[in-house]
Amino acid sequence: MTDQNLSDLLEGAAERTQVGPPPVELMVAGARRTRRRRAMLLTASTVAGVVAVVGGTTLLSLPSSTSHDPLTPSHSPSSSPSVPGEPTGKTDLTGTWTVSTLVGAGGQSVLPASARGKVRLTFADGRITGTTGCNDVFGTYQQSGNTGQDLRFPRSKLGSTLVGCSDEPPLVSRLLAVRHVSGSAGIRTLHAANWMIVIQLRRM
Amino acid sequence: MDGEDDFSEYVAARWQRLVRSAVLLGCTHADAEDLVQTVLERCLVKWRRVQRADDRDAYVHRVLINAFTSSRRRLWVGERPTAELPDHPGPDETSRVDDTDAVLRALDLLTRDQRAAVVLRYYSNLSEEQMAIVLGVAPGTVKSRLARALKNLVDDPQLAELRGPR
Repeated sequence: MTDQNLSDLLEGAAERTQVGPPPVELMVAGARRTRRRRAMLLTASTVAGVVAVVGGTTLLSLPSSTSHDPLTPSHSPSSSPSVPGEPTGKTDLTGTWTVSTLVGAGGQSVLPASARGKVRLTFADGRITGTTGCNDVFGTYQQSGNTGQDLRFPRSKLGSTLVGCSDEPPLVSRLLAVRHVSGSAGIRTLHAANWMIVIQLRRM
Repeated sequence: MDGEDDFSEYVAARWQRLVRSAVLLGCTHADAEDLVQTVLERCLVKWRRVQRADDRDAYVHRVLINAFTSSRRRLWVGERPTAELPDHPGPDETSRVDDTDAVLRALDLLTRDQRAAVVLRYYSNLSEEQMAIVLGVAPGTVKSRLARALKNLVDDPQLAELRGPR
């Protein structure tokens, strides 16, 4: 086997993988979050070190009304730098939703009639919880884009309980296909990379 | 150039190839995109270090290989829930699917180290020196892994069919 031959075989196999556009904004937002977390940990450990050196006496003498726990992150607006992906009214997912439509990769409905009204998702602070009507679903979500229109559910964080059920809608696997969100009053539509509808949500 | 602009340019140029490298290493398509996203995010956190690296591609590939190895250690990766059968109507691509299947099956028979060596050398086009940096081994080890991997691939009957006249 020649080097060129093997390279050609690998190129041919790799070309079968259709790769979507890179989620640069998600990566930038993720890296910023990591840096902020590290900076916060560094600050906390530095403060803890200083406190340890100075001694507990000073700390104990501080009036309780003015004390501030350095380990508690501040929630003042100035401490939360703007990141891409601030959702607008039409892409804001915060709250609890009923899954009214669930579409398979082939375009067919994969929401059994028996599960209608039972499949729910709750979005809050970057985390999702929900139910398929049988198993609990949990994970995180990431929104980016100028209006928060880009949406992902990282595979590494997404999971569910594993009770065996018949006619369970494939909620987790369809969430993995989601790349965008759009919406109107009381409705959010989650789309695949090519903007095909994957999930439709109705506000509860 | 601003670090994030530089990063964006790098990602635009390398994203597709990195994702496909991850697929050849053994990831599913979705896993590959997630893995490379994680890898590039980690690199961006220390982008100045990446910029200062003698070989930026070698640095990023090293993070990729390490992240891939870590992801394989998790037990749950064996579970792949799927909503529907992976067959969809479309043009007849039987031949290409067969070829891809044969290549991926042949790669599956290699050890993880051998597979990484083959992908880095023959798909990512890294030199043996770069591979030594990426894999954290001596150049001689790179050569021996490649040699053993090639011997296994040469002996693979399905790949032999692909190499022959078609």
